[in-house]
Amino acid sequence: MMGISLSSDLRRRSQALKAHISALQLIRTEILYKNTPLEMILAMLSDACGAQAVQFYQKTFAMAAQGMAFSTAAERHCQMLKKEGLTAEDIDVIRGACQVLGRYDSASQSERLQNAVRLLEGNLDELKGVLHAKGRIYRAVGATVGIVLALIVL
Amino acid sequence: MMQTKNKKEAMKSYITAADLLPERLWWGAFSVSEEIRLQTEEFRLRTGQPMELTVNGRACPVLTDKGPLLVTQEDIEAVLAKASRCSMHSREEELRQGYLTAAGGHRIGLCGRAAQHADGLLVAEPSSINIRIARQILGLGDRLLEALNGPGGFASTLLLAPPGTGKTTLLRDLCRGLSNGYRVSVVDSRYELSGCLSGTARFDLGRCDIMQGGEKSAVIPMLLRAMSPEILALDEITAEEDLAAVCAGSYTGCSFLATAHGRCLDDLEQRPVYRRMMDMGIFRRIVLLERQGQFRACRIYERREQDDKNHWIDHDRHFLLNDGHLAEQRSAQTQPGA
Repeated sequence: MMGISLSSDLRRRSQALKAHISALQLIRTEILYKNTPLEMILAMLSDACGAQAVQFYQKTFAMAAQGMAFSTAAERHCQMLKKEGLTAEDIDVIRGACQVLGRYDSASQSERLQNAVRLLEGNLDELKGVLHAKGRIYRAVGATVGIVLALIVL
Repeated sequence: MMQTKNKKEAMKSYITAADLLPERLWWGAFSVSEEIRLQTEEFRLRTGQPMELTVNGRACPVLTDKGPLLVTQEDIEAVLAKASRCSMHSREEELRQGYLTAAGGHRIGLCGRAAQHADGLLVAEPSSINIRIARQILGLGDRLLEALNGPGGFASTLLLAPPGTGKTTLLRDLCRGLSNGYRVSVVDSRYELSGCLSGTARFDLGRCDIMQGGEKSAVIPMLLRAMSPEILALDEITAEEDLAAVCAGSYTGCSFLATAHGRCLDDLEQRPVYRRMMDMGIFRRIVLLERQGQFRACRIYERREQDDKNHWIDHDRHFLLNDGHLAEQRSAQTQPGA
């Protein structure tokens, strides 16, 4: 169980990273090439990425539209990112991206968002490597420990 | 009844402008008396400095129990986030002009770090902003219209005044009044005249056809072709391309109603665009607005051609404007022009 759980944590993080990478890529494209208002971009997100990621950006925007800085609003919703399975490093990157969203001209935002996507993709590549190498080990160790415990109980 | 309606309108404008402020500054805006609120023209916010209200042309810092209400960079960013709905990138055209128009027609002037881009200069990180409260005073231009509407109809008129004197407010009401008797099209490039950002106009422009956004040089021929106006109203002609469009429009028989910055007729001589406009005889009348304490006064000049030169004759109709009330004064003076 423990092994399966560790393995599924890694997969959850992988899915969350993919969702946020898709979201930031869509946001960047719309801002750079069409100057689309953020409100409209967020309405497009649900087709492009997972529900949890969409919820994070939409709730953050709802607060920011009331006058709070986007970065401050994002900070308030960081717990949502932890629940998605993201690590502190992943969250720092997303937080950095949120610091520029909607605040500057399109070129400045695009540059920072592209950087954030690159960092998240790096984290995802690293995670894929870990999943490949350690995922099976975790499952095998988990299964072995489970069998031993069952034998002891018997 | 009109005065009560205008008072309500003025308070509504103040409230919608103050709604752009973050909570701390919002309380500051409402800490002043109702009389001050009705006379406030602008909110001025500068990082590290006290918040100021411009009341009848004078800067008044907002004071609290603990001293002046200081503005922070976060306050300025909060105003811009609200005004742009967290989408400064979608307002780049306005940022290049150094302003942002918020819902309600309030224009937010920006000052700060300028960034050079391929399409031009824009204000990338504002550290000072100026929220100009857009107002409508119904009936403000009624008496003036009676004087401007001659036997031959409405002749092209230029409203000339220094910044912050009320040109746009007067233009708004003149458009409304003229639309009762003429086909009037309005070029609302900065969304200020109608106060409309997403569909519904905040201000009453009567039966005018309003084109929002776009460059004046492109919008003017479009309106002339599509709406066949008898009068075309626009704010501030500043570019050569705009002048060319106005000239072309004048050949169609359309009259123009426009505004320009200046303290006196001689100021028009200083600017090449306006000097050429005066030389071409596009405008038949100039209405010069000036501030006299808390009042606004205006006088009308009419163009007369003499010895192949344009002279601006004082029309002998002077008006004192005060929240819709007009008192007429008379004096005769000749002002040599272009």
